[in-house]
Amino acid sequence: MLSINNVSKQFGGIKAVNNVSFDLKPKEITGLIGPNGAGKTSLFNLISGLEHPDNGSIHYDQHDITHEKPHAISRIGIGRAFQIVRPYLGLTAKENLLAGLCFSGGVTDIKQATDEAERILEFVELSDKTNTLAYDLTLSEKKSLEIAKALSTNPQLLLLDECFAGLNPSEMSKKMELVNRIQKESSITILMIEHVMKVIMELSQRIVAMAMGEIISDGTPQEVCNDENVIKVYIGEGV
Amino acid sequence: MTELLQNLASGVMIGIVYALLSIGFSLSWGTLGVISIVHPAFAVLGAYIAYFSYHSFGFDPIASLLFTIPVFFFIGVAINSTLFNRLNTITKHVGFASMVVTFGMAITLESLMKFFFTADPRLLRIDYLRDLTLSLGGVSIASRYLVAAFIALITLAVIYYFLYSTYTGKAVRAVEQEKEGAAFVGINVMRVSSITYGIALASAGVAGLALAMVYPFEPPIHIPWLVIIFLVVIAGGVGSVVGTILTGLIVGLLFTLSGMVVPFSLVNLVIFLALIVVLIFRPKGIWSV
Amino acid sequence: MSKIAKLKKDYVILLIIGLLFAAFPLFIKTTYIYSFLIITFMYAALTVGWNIMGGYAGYFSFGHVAFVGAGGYLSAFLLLEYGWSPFLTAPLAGLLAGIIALLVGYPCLKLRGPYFSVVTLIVALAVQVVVVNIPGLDAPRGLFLPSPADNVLLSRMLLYEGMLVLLLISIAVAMYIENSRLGYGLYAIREDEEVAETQGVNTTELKLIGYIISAFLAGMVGSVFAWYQGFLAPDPMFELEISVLIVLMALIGGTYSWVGALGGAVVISIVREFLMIYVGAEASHILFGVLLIVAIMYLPHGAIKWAIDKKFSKSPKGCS
Repeated sequence: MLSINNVSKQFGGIKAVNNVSFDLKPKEITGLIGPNGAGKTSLFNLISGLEHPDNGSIHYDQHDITHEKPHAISRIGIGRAFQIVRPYLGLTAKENLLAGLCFSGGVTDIKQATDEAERILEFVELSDKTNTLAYDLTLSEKKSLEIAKALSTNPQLLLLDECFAGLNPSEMSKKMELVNRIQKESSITILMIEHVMKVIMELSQRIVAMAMGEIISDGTPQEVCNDENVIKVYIGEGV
Repeated sequence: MTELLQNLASGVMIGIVYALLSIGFSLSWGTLGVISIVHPAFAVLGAYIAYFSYHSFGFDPIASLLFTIPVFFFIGVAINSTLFNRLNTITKHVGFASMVVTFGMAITLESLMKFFFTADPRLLRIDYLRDLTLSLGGVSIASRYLVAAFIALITLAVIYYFLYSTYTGKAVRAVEQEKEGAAFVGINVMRVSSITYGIALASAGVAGLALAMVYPFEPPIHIPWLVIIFLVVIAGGVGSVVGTILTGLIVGLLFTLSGMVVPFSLVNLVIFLALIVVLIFRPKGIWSV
Repeated sequence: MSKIAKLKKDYVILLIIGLLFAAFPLFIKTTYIYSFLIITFMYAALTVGWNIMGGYAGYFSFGHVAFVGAGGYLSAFLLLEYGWSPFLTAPLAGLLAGIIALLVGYPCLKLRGPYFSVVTLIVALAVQVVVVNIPGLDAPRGLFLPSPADNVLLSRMLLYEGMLVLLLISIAVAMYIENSRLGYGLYAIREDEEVAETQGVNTTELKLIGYIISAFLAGMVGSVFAWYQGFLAPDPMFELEISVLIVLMALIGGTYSWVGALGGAVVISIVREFLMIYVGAEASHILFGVLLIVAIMYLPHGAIKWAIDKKFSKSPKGCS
């Protein structure tokens, strides 16, 4: 699956990612937690190719993707949903999925792509917004669209970046159910950054915790939650 | 060797004038976000004003600046408060829209100048300078070059002083760096923009006078001048005063030195290639880190 | 109806309309009308082609005339040197334009927004300098091209048919792209280039393809335009105004689809013509500059505000 080895990335004077290593097990949901500035999104950028590590390597299924371009990484099977939603505002929900489908999703025919897009929208429960401009969607709908866009690239590994931020409880449980469905029905491996503890604890089979660019804990949700390094970083010393 | 020194000297001098020609454009792009294609056309207008005030009315052309500077400043303020202000309210892509609008202004201005002044090439020949040349170590420099460069240098110094030592000037730089932030601290962005554009056009007028002394000009010449401006501004870093001045010098040298190596008609091509090379390797300007 | 069937239907409609226009010479015998239509069709074809990069991908070139001029000079050269008809050498002209686009596009397309626009403007001027200085072409002196036919009317009619064909081709190409993999890739680039990359879109490749296609169409137009000019001088063939007019036409008509591009070209062409008739050539130039300003500033709703504000975003098949 995904294998990250001694990866580091520096921006100016700041080491955003410092010697990070871990391997993802296939078909699992792995949570990635840590305070703001821990390097989680930077790590995502390194995996998806928007940035390249200064040291170390990243392997995906025998491919060395350390210095690959984002579009190549996407085609190999890594999909990404962004933290601050980035839909194609000027296109409808359905059209938002066509690029991903045609370029990473392996669909050659536009008609086929359109059908597949409609199927994905149904899967994320956005069918009623198929022909609505992304610009006109609510935040929750845009977040669903963000996941749909990631799915359109036919990923085996899905990187979800804070998909649950800003949702109310009912939206949240719907989305949790969606993530579960994704994992079960499509056997997709998921690596998700999340701050909402309830979500992470319930969904993940494993949690990796980061702080200051380094991994400070790695294990089952229970283990990580009780790890004093993690507690220190979130709540502070002297607890 | 003498030829080399000669070209170095004239390159530096014409470079200073190029810097003055470009500084206004750089400031309006940096501070207003406006790509003012009409900028060199105003320089041409300034050149005509200087020319006619001397050849038709007998005024010292430098005295014509007493007219050109305030009038161009006022026109700049007017254009910004009406046209550019409106542009800002109807679109967020001010860059493209301003290119089209100012191109329209440039066409209108060029056509008007062609109509009133005819397309004959003009050169500002000042009698009391005509036979004066400076000889320095075997290199003779026509005084008109020196005077043009001197005028440009003084103007650049004034602008520099304004931007770095006066409150309003600092406000201009603040708006250029962070428009919203500047508004938050109480800077009247509209007023600052208008002042900036006024200064831009005024400096174009002065640059026009300087150029009129050095090279023949006619209405369409604003396009070749535009190319020089683009090169200086983009390679120097949009909005950077020091960058513009230094790059202006380099471009001036590039101009005169390449004239030694390639035929005249290809000198422009050298300038183009230089710009393209800069854009490929250093889109933020050659001085950027 | 499936998208393929719809496209075929659209092509048939296009063909029928095209044939209707092609039949004009049977009824209309005024030279002036053909001159007007040739120029209008030219701008229409150029704007539709330009829109592939401008409207679909969001890359506004301000130097489209470079392709017209380069293609025009190649066809002129082939006509003078070998007697080949520009109608036949148009694809070669397009090919040359495409090659220029390939060479120029690779560095230029790395730039965004106004930087891209400014550079394309400069590149157009550079292409002009190169063409003018080609040894043996003797461009600065001006090239006299033989007319397509013996009398002016017949020449104009032939050029009209040629330009009509090019316009139809441009529209057909645009129609195809709008609903194709390439099209949706370009829209993704326009909306969010970085995200498009993470979706598997090879943005560099797609932008180049779009740019080359756009250039190819313009190059072909150039060859007919050159023949229409009859006497080739560098400045009219590489006029900056042509580049800017194209941008204006697309902005006014709406960059979301070839329909907007076509509409904008027609409207602006008519306005220009009116100005020319009622005010005369010189004054019309002055007024046109003013009109440019007014047009951008005061189109409150409709194409411009939509196009620029929503990032040229009207959904291609007409949004709900």
